[in-house]
Amino acid sequence: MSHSHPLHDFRAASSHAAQDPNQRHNTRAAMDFLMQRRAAQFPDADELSRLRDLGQKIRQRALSQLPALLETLEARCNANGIQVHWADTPAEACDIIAKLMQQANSQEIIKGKSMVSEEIELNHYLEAQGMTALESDMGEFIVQLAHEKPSHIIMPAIHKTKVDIAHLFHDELPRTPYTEDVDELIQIGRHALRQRFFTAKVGLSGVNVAVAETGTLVLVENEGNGRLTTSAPEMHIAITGIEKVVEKLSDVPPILSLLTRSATGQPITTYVNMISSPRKAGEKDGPQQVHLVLLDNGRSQAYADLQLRETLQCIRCGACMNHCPVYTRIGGHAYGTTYPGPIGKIISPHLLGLDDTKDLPSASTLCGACSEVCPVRIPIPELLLRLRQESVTPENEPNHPHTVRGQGAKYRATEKWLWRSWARIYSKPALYRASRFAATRLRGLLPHDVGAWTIARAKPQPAAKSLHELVAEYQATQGNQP
Amino acid sequence: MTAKTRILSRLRAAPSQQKAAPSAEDYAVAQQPWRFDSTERTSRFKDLLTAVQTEIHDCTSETWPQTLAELAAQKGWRNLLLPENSPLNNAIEQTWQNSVSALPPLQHYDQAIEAWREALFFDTDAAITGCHAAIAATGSIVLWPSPSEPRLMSLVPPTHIVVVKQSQLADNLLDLMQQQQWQQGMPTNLVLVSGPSKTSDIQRVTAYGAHGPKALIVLFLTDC
Repeated sequence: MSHSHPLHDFRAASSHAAQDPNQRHNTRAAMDFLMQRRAAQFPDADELSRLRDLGQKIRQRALSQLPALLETLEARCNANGIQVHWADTPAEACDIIAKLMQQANSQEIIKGKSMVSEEIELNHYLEAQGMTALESDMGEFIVQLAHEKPSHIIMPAIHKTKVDIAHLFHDELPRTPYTEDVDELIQIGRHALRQRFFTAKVGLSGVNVAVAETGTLVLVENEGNGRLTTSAPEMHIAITGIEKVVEKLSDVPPILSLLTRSATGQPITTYVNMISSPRKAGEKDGPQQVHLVLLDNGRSQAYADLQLRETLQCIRCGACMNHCPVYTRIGGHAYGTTYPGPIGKIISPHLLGLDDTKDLPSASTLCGACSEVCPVRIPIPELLLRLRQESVTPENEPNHPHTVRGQGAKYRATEKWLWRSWARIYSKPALYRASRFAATRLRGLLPHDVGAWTIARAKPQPAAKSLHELVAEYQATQGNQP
Repeated sequence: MTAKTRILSRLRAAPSQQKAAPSAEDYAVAQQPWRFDSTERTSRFKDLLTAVQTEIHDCTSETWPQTLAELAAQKGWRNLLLPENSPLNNAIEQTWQNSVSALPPLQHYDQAIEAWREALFFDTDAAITGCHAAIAATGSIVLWPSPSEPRLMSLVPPTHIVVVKQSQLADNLLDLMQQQQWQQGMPTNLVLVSGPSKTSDIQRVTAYGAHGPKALIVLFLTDC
């Protein structure tokens, strides 16, 4: 839904965020906390390494048979009584959900945490139709109350302090006294949402893992709002990207272990919720209907290329952003995308097009911290380099297949000409020697302002003589051969 | 063309790349480091749950109803919700009848939620259930809700009491699901519970009792 709002200016937003001391402090403190928690969960490097190998194999195996697994998942879900819907675009997914709500005769939907619902901008869509979406995850509830967006995929409100939240609750919730006590703040949230869970007819959740073998939807959470969302209303709608499927139920324990330990440094979350059917005859509670919405939204584009396909291995733990020196400095909002941080830089171009995300693949130092912690070993820096290449390769380039929507968004004829000239100089010895001679003898002509280079660096200083010349002179004085 | 056909045809048009399924040896990393002798199994289970504010009481198959009665009196629950037709019920009901002190009234989850939703959501203080199994590696209790023990029992009341037998303790999740062949028939809803409900969404401070139970109490039967 990139065209529903003006193009996000990543350069301006990141520069602004990096100069905001509160943002810097809050994000740094939260990332340090999450990094320490994760490290404490993996004391044995060998176990971690083997578990990551397994995670990678499970995800790659699942992706290698994705179309077949999706059909198996649908068949198993249908047999269990779960109705499956397919959505190509965010608009289709929103439409499916709105129609289901109408079927259930409900103007309101209560939501457990779902990044895919953020991706399709469901809340916005429903509001425009005069319907309401209510977030029930405490972090998401806070962010919604503040009319903001999540700044982190696991901890949506990490950019806020308890003082911010104390003011927010006092100002926005009726009859709420001002308190900075975290326990009291959580009880205020619990009380406000309990009433809504009581009346809600439709609940919406995400899915952490979908199991093809058994038609099971696995959800992890700590608060219990995910269980309430999926157990208390008459209708449960789950939404997930098509890549979240695994082949077997036995794939779930290793993925769970990687996910919760990498994400929040917990051996397991408080609740692991495995849903395989709606309420059966004789059962006294649980939703009468369960629906699963499978969303593509650009994922099949990443799938079409064997290297870019690795993007889809992601299990959304957020460890890459927790360890990213760029994310830690600019926070989640500066990216302007649903998924921020390193994983966001490689998934967003497929969801939104490279033309709308062209600054993201280059907003990285390629330090590799992300791929070092990735529980399923996604080579994020390599994928960033690949996307940089796509962003300067126009669609009509001969011998280059069209791979990414909006590719060539950063293509400039002058840059292309410069590199072509560079290649010619470096492949012809005579030209090379001439260029060295010119660069050293004419070095005084280099202007003080060399474009982007001199924004934050001193201008380059060519030496008076080239290395070849110096070596030749040295050898002449020593009188020996190399 | 439907969205399904469009999506599947794009996926099928993509180059195929065979990847072997992980071997049993590969999966061993989720099992071998998480196997324990019997003392370690019990202590790990209790330590992990206690670390997240779960109350654990060691009892026997004889003493647990008395422990429950003491807790009920001490915590001041207004009522206690029992499953319907559960093997737990007889012992609880007898203990309640024989008690000299006043104990909270017992209720049973004996009708569909639609008939008593408000009472469950706002006027039920505590519920007791059994469990399907328990897991030492992560300090988890496996709930397998059924017509007798519906899923909201362990979720909506502020206190959840669960009876765990020592013999129900498994080493790790993968061993357990393979031994019991879960893939042959998953229940409507299977839940692993590893403590009372909690959140760290406000400035990373952990607060208990977010949306689910504020208290989780384990009656751990050491003799069966």
